[in-house]
Order: sequence, then structure tokens, then C-alpha cells
Amino acid sequence: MLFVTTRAMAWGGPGHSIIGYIAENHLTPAAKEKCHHYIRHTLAYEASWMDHWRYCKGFNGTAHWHIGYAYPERQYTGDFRDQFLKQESVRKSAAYRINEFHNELRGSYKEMPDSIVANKIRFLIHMLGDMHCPAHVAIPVEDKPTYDETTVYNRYRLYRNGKKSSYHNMWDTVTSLLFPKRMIPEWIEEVDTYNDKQREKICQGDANDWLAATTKDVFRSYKQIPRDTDIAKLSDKQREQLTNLTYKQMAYAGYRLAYILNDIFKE
Amino acid sequence: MKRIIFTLLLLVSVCSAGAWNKSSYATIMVLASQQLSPEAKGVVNKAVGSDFATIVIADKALNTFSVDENYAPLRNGDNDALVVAEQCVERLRKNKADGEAIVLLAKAIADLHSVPNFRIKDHDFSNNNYTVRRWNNRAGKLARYRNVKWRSLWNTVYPGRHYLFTPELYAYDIDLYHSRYRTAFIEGGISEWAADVAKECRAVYAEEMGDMYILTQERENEYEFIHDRLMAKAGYRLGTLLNEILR
Repeated sequence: MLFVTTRAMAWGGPGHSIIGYIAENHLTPAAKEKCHHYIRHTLAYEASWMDHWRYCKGFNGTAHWHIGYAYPERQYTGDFRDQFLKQESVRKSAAYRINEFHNELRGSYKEMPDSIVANKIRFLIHMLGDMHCPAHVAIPVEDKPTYDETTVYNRYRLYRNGKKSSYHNMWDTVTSLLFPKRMIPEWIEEVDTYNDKQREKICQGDANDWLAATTKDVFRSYKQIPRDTDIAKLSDKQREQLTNLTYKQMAYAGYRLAYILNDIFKE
Repeated sequence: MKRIIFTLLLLVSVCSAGAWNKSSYATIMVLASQQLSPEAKGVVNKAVGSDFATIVIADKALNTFSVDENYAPLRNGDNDALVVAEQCVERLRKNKADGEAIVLLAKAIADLHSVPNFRIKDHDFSNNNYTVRRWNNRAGKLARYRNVKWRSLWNTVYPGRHYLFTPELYAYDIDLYHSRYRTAFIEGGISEWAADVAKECRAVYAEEMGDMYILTQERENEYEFIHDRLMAKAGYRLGTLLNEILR
């Protein structure tokens, strides 16, 4: 099974910071106090930690944690899906790790060393962000049940002012592409707009469900911004679509991150 | 006319190779402002004619901080950060309403706390703005190196990790991490602080470095801790100093 995936710089630092800030705004007081105790920074500040340490000693094997391996239910069922889920890379991916860390911390964070809890929080902050980035969703493109680790990334060709770029690079730099002069508070004003009921619905399910839902938007975005588009010259409609998808994914990532942390640290 | 243009260009080039970038200077000012007592804040704001936290000091002339081989301050020249700071303190002891002295003091204290501003006598690396190669820690075909000037590493790369942060947000985070050490950071006076900065810089410059030095990811990340800590120290110490002088 050939996977179309990405290098691990989804959103770029700025996008991750925005997601972290949204989540921070929706933490309960107890969760905020705990997070600040463990990581000693805001979620926004630590949002790109996983990228900065990615190839350092002790972080080997975390490459797949940046990626969401998606399996649209209707295509991959039965034996095929079972084989798919047995693949080690899939089991190691973002959705799997998010669920794993969520369950581990919820049960027993008080028994763990502070440094372990801190790092798991940092991983969660970044993985939620990565998993919601369309360029970090890996979708099987060939109907084969086996998967060999691949270095093929989701970088179909785009252009930026005539220079070669890629789908992945577009998402890496989406904040500066859309609104280059905006700072975090202005982003939050535009992105964090869902009410309590909407947020509750957004946070239903677990990381696997969230990833499956993201996949649909990813497929749609491939059609909205097809190969060879010059992203510096998007039509108004394309720009609006890209903006809406960016806002949606950032908001969802932030709310779900807050949901997980609030659940872990609820009193 | 040519002289004016040359002077302006020189000023711009000095400022752009500055200790911190504009956002980091602004963050230090916010941190310092948060430390001011109500009395000191009143005096300062009146003297400078605006909210102290929002004063732009990035455009003022750069102050370097020079030490000898044993890391003892040299107090070397009119633009030495330690010399300027001490002069401004003297000015303010005579006249608390000296707004110019307050602004220059803020710049001097900020610059005193900057690693790339540090000059060790006869030390090749600290006296030259060499290139470092930021390595992605990977081998073979996957190895990538991004070249950056040493000073740009400190005044661009690290604040660049949070470039969407306003100075207030950045200051909040710096304070969140370092507030528990504040009491220790502000102990002593300018001389002790200068010695402390020299100690921090010794940890960086003790490494054998030369042009095209390869910087691992681990080392790059470790330096960020030093960058942030010095930013916190600069802000806390500036605020504390103004409280002491202006009470």
C-alpha cells in the first residue's frame, strides 16, 4: 500500500502556536494549573517542541507520531482493515499515540515522574496539531493491504509566484500565505468562534474518529487546490475555501486538545 | 548629505546586527514594566512621556559587553553596556526625571544580557559574527544544514520560534517559566549581574567554535533555554533597578 504522507512540519510553528493558544483558552482552571506546573510554559509556547527535538537522541522512532494514517471506513473493512491496522507504522501514528497517552495519563499521571508527564503533554499538543493538518494525513492510494515504510510524502506539486512548491509546503506556511501580518490574538478572534454545544459535538469520539472526519476535508481540499495551482494567485473562492478549512482545522485541533487535557486533569 | 546617509546606514546596520530583535526588546520592556512598583511606574512614565512598557529601544545604538580572558568586565569604551548602565544610574540618582537616561539604561541592561553581544578579549569567535551550520541531526542523504550568522541565531531564530507572539504573550511565557527564580536573579546589583551574564556566556563560549561550526539540534535547543533565561533576567533586573533608583 503506497502511502501519501508528509514530512513533519505541519502548519509550521505559527500554526501550532495558534492551536496551542486556542486549547489554552479552553482549559479548566485545574487543567491549566497542572499543565503549567508540568511544562512550565503555555501550550502555545510548547506547541512545536516535538519538531525541535525530532531527531535528537531519545526521540528515535517518533517520526510516525507526526502523521495521521487514515482509513476511510467504507473502503477498508474486514480482513483488509485488520491487516491495515496490524501494520506497525499505523499503530505508531498520531491517532494511536494520542489515544494511548490520553488513556495512560488519565489513569495514572500522578504516579509518573513529572518529566514523563511533561513530555507526554508536549507530544499531545503537537500531535493533535499535526493530525489536523491536511498535509499530515496519510491516505492509502493503492488498494493493497500491505504497507512498506515509505518516504513518499504528500507533496504534489504546486507553485508559489511561479516557483515550485508543494501541497505540504503550502500548509507549512499557511499562516503567512493567508494573513502574513496577523498575530495570535487576531487569529484567535477569527478561529475560536464555536459555542459550547458545538465544541462538545466536535470533541465527541476519539482521535481515530477525528482523523476519519479530517480525511473527508482533505480529499475535498485536493480538488479545491489541484496540482500545479499557483498558491500566490488563488482565486477568491479558493482563498476562501483554504481560509475556512484552516480555521476549522485549527479550531478543532485546539478544542480537542483542551478536551483531552481537561479529561486527564479533571478533579 | 553623503555623511548623513552614511551615518544612517551605519546606524541601521548596527541596529540590525543588534543584541535582540525588536520583539525581544519589547518583551524585555514588558517584563521590566511588570516589575515596577506603582511609585516607580509613575515616575518613569512621566519622565519618558509614555507607558514604559511600550517604549521602543530597539532603535537605539547597540551596547556590547566586553570581558577579559578571565571573564572579568573590561568596562571598555563609551558604548560598553556596563559602562552605559552605570552612567545612566548616576544620572538618575541626580535627576529621577531624566527620561533619556531611563531609555538608555533600559537598552544597556537589555544589551548586557545578550550572548551575541558578549566580547571576550582575543577570543576569535565572540569577536566575529561567524556562520554556524544548523544541522538536522540526520546522516547521509537526509542530512541538512541551514547556515545562519551567530548573532542571527540569537536575535532571529529563537524569537522566530514564537514570532506570532505579541510581546505581552511572550513575556507571559518567559515569566511563567522563570518567576520562581526571580528572587535569585535580582540579587546584587549591576556588577553582580554582569558577572552572572559572563558566567552564562562562559557556558556557551567554552565550546571550541569557529566559522562554519556545526550546531546539533540538541545544542540549538539548549541555547534557547539560555536565551530565554537571559531575557527574563534582563527584564526582572531592569525593573528592580528602576524601583531601587526611583523610590
